[in-house]
Amino acid sequence: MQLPIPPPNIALVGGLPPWPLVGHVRGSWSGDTVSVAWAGAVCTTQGPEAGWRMSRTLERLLQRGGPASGDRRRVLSVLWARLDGEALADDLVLLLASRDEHGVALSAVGCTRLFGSREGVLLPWLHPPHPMLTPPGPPVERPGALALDAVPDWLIAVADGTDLEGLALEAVLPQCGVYG
Amino acid sequence: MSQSWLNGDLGGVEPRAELDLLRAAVVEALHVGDSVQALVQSLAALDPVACAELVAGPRAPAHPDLVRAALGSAHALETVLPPTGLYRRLADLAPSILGEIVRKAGERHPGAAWIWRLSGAESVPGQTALMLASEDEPERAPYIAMEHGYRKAVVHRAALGDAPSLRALYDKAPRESLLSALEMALHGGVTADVVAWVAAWHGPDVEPIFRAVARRLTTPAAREQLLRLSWALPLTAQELT
Repeated sequence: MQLPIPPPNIALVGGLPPWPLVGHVRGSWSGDTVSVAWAGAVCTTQGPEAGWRMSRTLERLLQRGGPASGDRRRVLSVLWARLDGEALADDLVLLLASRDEHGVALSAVGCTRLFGSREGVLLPWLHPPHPMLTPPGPPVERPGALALDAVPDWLIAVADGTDLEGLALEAVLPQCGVYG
Repeated sequence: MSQSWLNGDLGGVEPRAELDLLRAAVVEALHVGDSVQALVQSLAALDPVACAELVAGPRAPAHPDLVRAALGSAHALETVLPPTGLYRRLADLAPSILGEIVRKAGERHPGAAWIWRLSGAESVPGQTALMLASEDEPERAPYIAMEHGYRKAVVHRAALGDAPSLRALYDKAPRESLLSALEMALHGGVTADVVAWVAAWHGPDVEPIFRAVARRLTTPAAREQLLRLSWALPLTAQELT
């Protein structure tokens, strides 16, 4: 029996108090041939009620139609397609990550930097300028995918330029809404 | 003579020499339910030392109406007594109106640390001090209250639908306190979207928290309210239907 492929571990750091994780989404699927994970935030400046409603809409859109099939690049394209034409807030930040037997693929909007974990400490992994690091908002054109053989155990995205270098992963994960 | 004194007419009175007579007039007035406000006010203006002796001295009558009258002349009394001692003494004389005493003290000395200690003797320790502090620093006040050990006051305020107090409980208190506050809020008819609030602090995975809250709700109204808020939480909705 084939075990499901575990999705890449990704997360997005929250913002400032009093509503640091307003509008956040985070989820994943694990399939036999491909897995995918998402982490993002939307409608983060209109208060917790609007942020919750819009984040649930985003979550529903990403999940509609169920797990996508195909290789690591295709499933990311499928997820982006699920957002086409939808009225999402213009502060959308979204990191998608997929894994198949060949490696990992990443795609994003609104992320300013990515940090990767190494022995429990976060180090810079992707910084501007890079085509994957774009302004926030629903993409006008389908974002491309960055394909890699492997990625760090955890990838943490920031949307506001925060520097996480040197911080302990376990201290940052709760700031992303990841516990345990 | 007594009636004119009660009306605030202390012309010709030597307060310190006639303190026993003044005290007797006050005791009689309190007994029959007459106001002593005017007498205290006039005495405070005439001789604040004598007034302090009357309302807060060792032989001061322990009666809420006299303490209320004293609060009305707090500015004069504070010229002859240290505020911390004055309000502590008034609290000892009339513990049933401690909230009013704390409020007056807090209005006159906003931000003073001793206000929190004074408030500690309330039935919900720290309740009035938290209310006062929240007027100036709504986000920070609940954290200060918990630093003083007044978590119950924060739970009670959170149960009224106060977002900063709920957030402070989420941040700093055992999970049981947050669940208790959410339960009390829903049972108390709070209609705010507490699911959205908690999600904005905790992240989207709030289902375990609200399933636990759902299991505590006992009234149809509270269960219905959480059900309305749980449109995106299928397992919580299942607990409620």
